Amino acid sequence: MLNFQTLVPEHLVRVVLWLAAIVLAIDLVMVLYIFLRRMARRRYFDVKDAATKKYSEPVGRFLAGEIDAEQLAPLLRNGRSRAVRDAIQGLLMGSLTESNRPSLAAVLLKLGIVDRWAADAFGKRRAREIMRHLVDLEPLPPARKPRFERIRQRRLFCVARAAAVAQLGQLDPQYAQVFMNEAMRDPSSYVGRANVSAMGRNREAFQVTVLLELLRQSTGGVSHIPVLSVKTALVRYPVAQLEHFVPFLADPDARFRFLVVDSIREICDAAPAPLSVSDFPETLLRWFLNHAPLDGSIDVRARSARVLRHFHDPRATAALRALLLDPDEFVRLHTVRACADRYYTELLQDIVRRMTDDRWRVREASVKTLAAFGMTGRQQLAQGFLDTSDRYASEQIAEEMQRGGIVAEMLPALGSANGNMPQASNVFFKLVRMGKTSLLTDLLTQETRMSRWGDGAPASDPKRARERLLDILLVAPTAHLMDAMRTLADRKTDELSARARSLLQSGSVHVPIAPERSNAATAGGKRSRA
Amino acid sequence: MHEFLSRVVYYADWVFIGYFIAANLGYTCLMALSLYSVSLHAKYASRKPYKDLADSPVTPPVAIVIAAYNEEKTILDTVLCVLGLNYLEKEIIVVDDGSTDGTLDRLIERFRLKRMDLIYREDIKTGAPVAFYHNPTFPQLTVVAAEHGGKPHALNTGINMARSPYFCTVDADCVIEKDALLRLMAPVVHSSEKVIVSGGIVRIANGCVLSDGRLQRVDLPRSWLELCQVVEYIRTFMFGRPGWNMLNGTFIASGAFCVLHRASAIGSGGFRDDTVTEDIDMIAAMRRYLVAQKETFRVVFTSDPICWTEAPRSLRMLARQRRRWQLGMTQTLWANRDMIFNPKYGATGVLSMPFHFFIEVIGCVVEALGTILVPLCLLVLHTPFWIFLLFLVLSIGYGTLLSMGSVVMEEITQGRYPKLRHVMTLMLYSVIENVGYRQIVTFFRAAGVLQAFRGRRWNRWEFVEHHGMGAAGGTTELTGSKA
Repeated sequence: MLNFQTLVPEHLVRVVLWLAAIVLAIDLVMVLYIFLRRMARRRYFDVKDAATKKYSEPVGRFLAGEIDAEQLAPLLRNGRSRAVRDAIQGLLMGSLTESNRPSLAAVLLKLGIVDRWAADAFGKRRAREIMRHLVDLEPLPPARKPRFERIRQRRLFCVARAAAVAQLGQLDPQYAQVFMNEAMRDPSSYVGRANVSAMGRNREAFQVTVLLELLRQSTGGVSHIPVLSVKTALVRYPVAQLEHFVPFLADPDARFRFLVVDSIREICDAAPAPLSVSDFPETLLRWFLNHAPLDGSIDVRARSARVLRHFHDPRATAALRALLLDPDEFVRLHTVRACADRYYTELLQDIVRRMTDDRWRVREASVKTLAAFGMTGRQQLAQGFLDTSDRYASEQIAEEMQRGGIVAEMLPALGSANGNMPQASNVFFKLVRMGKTSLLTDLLTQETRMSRWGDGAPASDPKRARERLLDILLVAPTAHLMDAMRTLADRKTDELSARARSLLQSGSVHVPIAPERSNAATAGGKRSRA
Repeated sequence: MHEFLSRVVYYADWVFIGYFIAANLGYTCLMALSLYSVSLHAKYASRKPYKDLADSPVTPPVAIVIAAYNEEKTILDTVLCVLGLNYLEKEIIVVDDGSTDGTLDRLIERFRLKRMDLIYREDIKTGAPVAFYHNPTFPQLTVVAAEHGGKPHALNTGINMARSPYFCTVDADCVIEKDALLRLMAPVVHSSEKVIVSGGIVRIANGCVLSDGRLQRVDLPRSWLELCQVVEYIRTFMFGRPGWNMLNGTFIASGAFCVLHRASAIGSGGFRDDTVTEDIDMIAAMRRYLVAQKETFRVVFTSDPICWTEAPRSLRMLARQRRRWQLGMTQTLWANRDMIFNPKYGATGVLSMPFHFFIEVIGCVVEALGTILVPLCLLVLHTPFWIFLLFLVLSIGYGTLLSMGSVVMEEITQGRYPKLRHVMTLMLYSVIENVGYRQIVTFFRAAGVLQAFRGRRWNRWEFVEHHGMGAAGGTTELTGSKA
C-alpha cells in the first residue's frame, strides 16, 4: 500500500493546523471588532447627542444675533473629543445660510475648524501659508508643484481631501475663493468635482468665468473633471449672472458653444418666475436673436430656441417662427417644444403645420405643445386631427389625445347641444375608423362628468353622450366592445343596460374576423415613416 | 488495485485542494480590492454628493422597465416604490408578460388605468403588444400588456416603449431604496466615458417590514435557509463585484436593479432568449457591440444603491433558482467563449471571464466532486487525516473568513442592520452557511452546469413563491417561513 507520509513533507501537517488556527483566530477577532465597534459608536452618538443639546442654546443665541463670534467661540471651545467637535461642526454648518456665512466663517476660524479642513485638503504646510494669508493678510506664496501627483490622484488619498474642500467651499466667499483656487490645482478628479460642486452651491459671480473656463477644458479633454459635473454646477446660477456667459458664446468650438447655450437654457428653465426680455442682458439678447438662429451648429440652434422662448418678445416670436422651418429635424423638434408657452399663441398655426412634419419626433412634439396651450390648443389639436389626411400625424395626435385625457374630456360634449358636439363626434368617428377604440370602449362603461370641452354650456345629458358614443363605436364593433356591452347589460341600474341587452339579443352586432389586437396595439409602430 | 486506487484518489485530492487554493487566492485578491473600493465609496458617499444630482436638470432621464409575470402579490408595492423614487425625470413602464393571475387587474384597479391605443415603435423586434394602459393622473406610468413570451421579450417591449436615453430594469418583486436610482446614475453623470451599464446591490427582504412600497424596518428572517442566503448575498455583493469593478472587469450586474444605456442595448439587439440569465448575456452583448463600434465605455458597479428582494424560502425553490442561475451563466460564458482571454475586451476578457468560467462554472463541479470524494476517501481508503483537514480549512474555514469579512464590511460601510443582534446573527450564520448550506448550493449549481452542457431548455421566467411584500396600503412582515 502507498505510504502517504513519504509523499508529503512532515511539516505540512503542522502548516495545516496553523492555518486552521489562524482562520479561527481571525474569525474571533472580527466578532470582537464588531462588538467593540458597536459599543464605541453607541458611546460616540451618546456624547454627540449630549453635545448637540448642550451647544444648541449658545449657537441659537448666536444665530439670533444676541451674541457675536467673539463671545460664541470660547463657549464652544470646551469640546475636545471627536464626537463633541462633530456635534459643534454639525450645528454650525447645519444652520448655514447666505446671510450668516461671514459670521459663521468667523466662528469656524476661531475654533480652528477651518485650519483643520485646510490641512486635510492641502497639507499642513500649505494650509499654514493659506491661513496666514487669510487671517494675517500675508502674501500667499506660489504653490509648490505637488509631489507624488500620480499617488494623489488615487481615490485612496483623495476622499478626505474632497470632503475638506467641499466644507471649505461653503465658507464666506472671501475665504472660499482662496481655498477653491487652491483646490483647482489638485490632480484628483474627486477633489475637482467637490470643488466644482461647491462653486455651484455658492453661486458667486466671480466663479462663473472659472467654471466656464473649466467647462471649455473638460470639453476639450484637458481637464479631468467630467463635463456633466461642471455643467451641474453651472446651471445652479441665477439668470442675473447670465452676462458672464456672453463672451463664451462666440467660442469657435461648436460643442463648447452648445454646452454654454444649454446651460443658459437650463438656468432660464429653472427660473422661479416667468422671465421677460428685461431680465436678460442686452448683449445676450442680441446674440440669441441675431446670431443663434444662423449658427452653424445644429445643437446650438436647437437649444437656442429653448432660450428664445423665455424672452417673451415679438422679436423672439419671429426668431422661433424661422427656427420652426429649419431644415434640421432636431432644431424643429426643440423649437416646437420651446413654443409650449401661451405667450406664443401667435405661432399656433405654425405648430399645427408641424403636426404633419415628416419626422415623427417633431410630430409628437407639436402635438404635445398644442395640448399645452389649454383649451384653445386642444381644440386646434382636435381640428388638426380632423383636417389632416396624413396617417402618421393622425396617429400621433390620437396618442396625445388619449394620453393627455383629451378624449375623456371631449366625451360629455357628445351629449351637449352646443356647437362643440359635432367636433367631438367627428373626432370619435375618426378614432373609430382608425381602430383606436380601446379608450372609447372603456369610457362607454363609465359615467360621464361635466364637460370641460369648449366654451359652451356644460353637457346637459350624460346618457345621450354615452348613447352617441355607443352608436359611433357600433360603426366598427370589436371584441372589446362586445365585452363592454355584456358588462353594461349585466348592470341593471345602468342607463345603457337595456340598449346593450337588446343589441346583444338581436345579434345585429358582428365583430369582423380580423383580430382585435392588431388594430389595438400596433398603431404606427412599423408604419411610422421616421 | 487498492494501491492504484489510493494513488488516483491521492492525486484527485490534490486537484481539489489545488482548486480551492486557486479559488481562494482569487477571492482574496477580490476581497482586498473590494475592501478598498467599498470603504472608499462609503466614505465618499457619506458627503452626500448625490444631493446636487437630485434636482439637477443635467441628470439624464431614466425609463424604469418592470417586466412582470404572475406577480399579483408584489407588483403594486414595486410600482408604488418606483413612483416614489427620488429622481427628477423618470418614466415607468410595466410590461405584463401575459400573466394568468391578477397582475394586470390589480394595476388597472389601483391606478385607475384606461386602455389606450398607443404608438409602439419596434426598435427591437418583439411583435405588437396586446394592449396599453395609462392614466393621465399618473403621467409617468404606462402599462403594456404583452403576449406571454418570456422575460427577455417583456424587457425588449419595455425598451421599445421607453423614450429616455437610459433605462433601469427592476424586477417586479423588488423594493428599491428612495435614493437608489440617483446613486446608480451618479457614475453616469460623473464619468468622462460613456457608462453603458450601472449595477447596484441586491439584498434579501425576507424578515423586513414593508409598507406602501417602502422598507419600513430592516430585520432578519427566522429560518436558517433564508439567513444563509442573506449572508451569501452580502458576500457576493460586497466581496466580488466591487473588486471586479475596480479592475474594470464587471461581467455581471443583477438585472433585478440595473441601469443600461438604451441606444447601446438596442444596437446590441436587446435581450436575447437563448440564455436564461438575460441580464448577464445582455452585458456581454453590449460589450461586444461597443468594442466592434470602437467606442470607449464603462460598465460600473456601485456598492450603495440597494434593491431589496424576496428570496426563496424552501430548498426546492432555492434549488430551482440556483440551477437556473448557474445554467444561465454557463450558457452565457459558453456563447461568448471567444471573449475569454481575449485582450480586446480588456480586464473582462483577460481576467473576469476566465475567472467566472474556470472558478465559478467549472470550479463548482470540482467543488461538488471534492465535497463528496474527500470525506469518502478518508473513510473508505484511509487517506491521511491532514488532507481532509486541509480540505476543510480551505473550503469551510476560508469560506467562513470571507463571509465574516463581508458582514464586517457591510457593518462598516453600509450598516443597514440596525441591531447588534442582527450582526451577531449574521456572523454566526457566516459559519453555518459554510457547513451545509454552501455544499448544498454547490450541488445545485453543479447540476445547473451539467444541464447547460446537456442542452436542457428551461422555463423562461424564474419562479419564486411570493408571500407578499406589504400589499399596497398595508403593512406586511416577511416572516413565517415554512422552510
